[in-house]
Amino acid sequence: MKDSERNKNSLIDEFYNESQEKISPNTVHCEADLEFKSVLNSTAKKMDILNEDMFDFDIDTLSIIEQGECIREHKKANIEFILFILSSFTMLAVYALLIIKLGPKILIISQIFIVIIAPWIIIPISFFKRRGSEV
Amino acid sequence: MLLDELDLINRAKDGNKSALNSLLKDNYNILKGYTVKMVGDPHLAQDIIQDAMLKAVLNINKFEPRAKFSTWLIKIATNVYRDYLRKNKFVKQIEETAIDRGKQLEDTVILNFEYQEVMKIILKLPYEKRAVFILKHYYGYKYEEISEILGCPLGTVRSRLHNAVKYIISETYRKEII
Repeated sequence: MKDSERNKNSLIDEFYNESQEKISPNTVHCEADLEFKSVLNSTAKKMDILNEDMFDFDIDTLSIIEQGECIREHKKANIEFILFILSSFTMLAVYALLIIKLGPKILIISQIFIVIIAPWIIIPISFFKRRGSEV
Repeated sequence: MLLDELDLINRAKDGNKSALNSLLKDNYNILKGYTVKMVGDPHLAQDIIQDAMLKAVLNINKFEPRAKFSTWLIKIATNVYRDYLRKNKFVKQIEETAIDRGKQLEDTVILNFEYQEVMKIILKLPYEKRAVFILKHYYGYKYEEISEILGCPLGTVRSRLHNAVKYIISETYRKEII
């Protein structure tokens, strides 16, 4: 890289307070550097015109939040549906495998378990869970 | 980061809509300014701001308050604009007339002309260099922060800024704006 380019780069860094090497305020710059510095200052001032707020936008943040909530709910419902389908498919597949391996007796045993024992487990759990959420 | 903002972020993560609304409203102006400068077309800028805000709402739980919320919003807006550019390779810039905010007609015309000329120069820069220049010049972000926002090495940020500034100087001279 040419020396003049390197000088310009370091002047740009200096202008934006990102200088790598510490520059003393007494550092003597050559004429070309001084000219570039003044051009840099005036260009920067000119560019500041973009800070003017020229446009009025009509953006309703609350409706964006509502839209976001809708999308999130929709995604959640989709995931729950897929999980339900997957878990029921897995359960039916396991059932089918057990019937093939152990015979149809397992079907009767599991039905007895579901009808007689499962309510004794599920009802107290759901009762305590509901009480916990109310507190 | 301000304690107020941290509190708002935590409440927004817990599902408080009003906190999330305050966060978006507080950071709206910085997001708007950045996007308008970056895009140059106010209609497109409005769409990108809306998309960026929607993405922020959807991903608020992923936000880690190491950086400012505005920095995160700018990062999202940059990504949304990058995706837009990938999808629409031939973008036609719409020239929009600015709104008269109680200024004299002559002032408005001059301001509009200069605004359009400066905007044209900025828009001629490739979007990576444009983003670096806007973040550094208008918002005073440090090189490290810009490299974090744009996901590129610090040296690249530095050289992009050098190139952008030199290009802008040469163009302002060529167009005799200075």
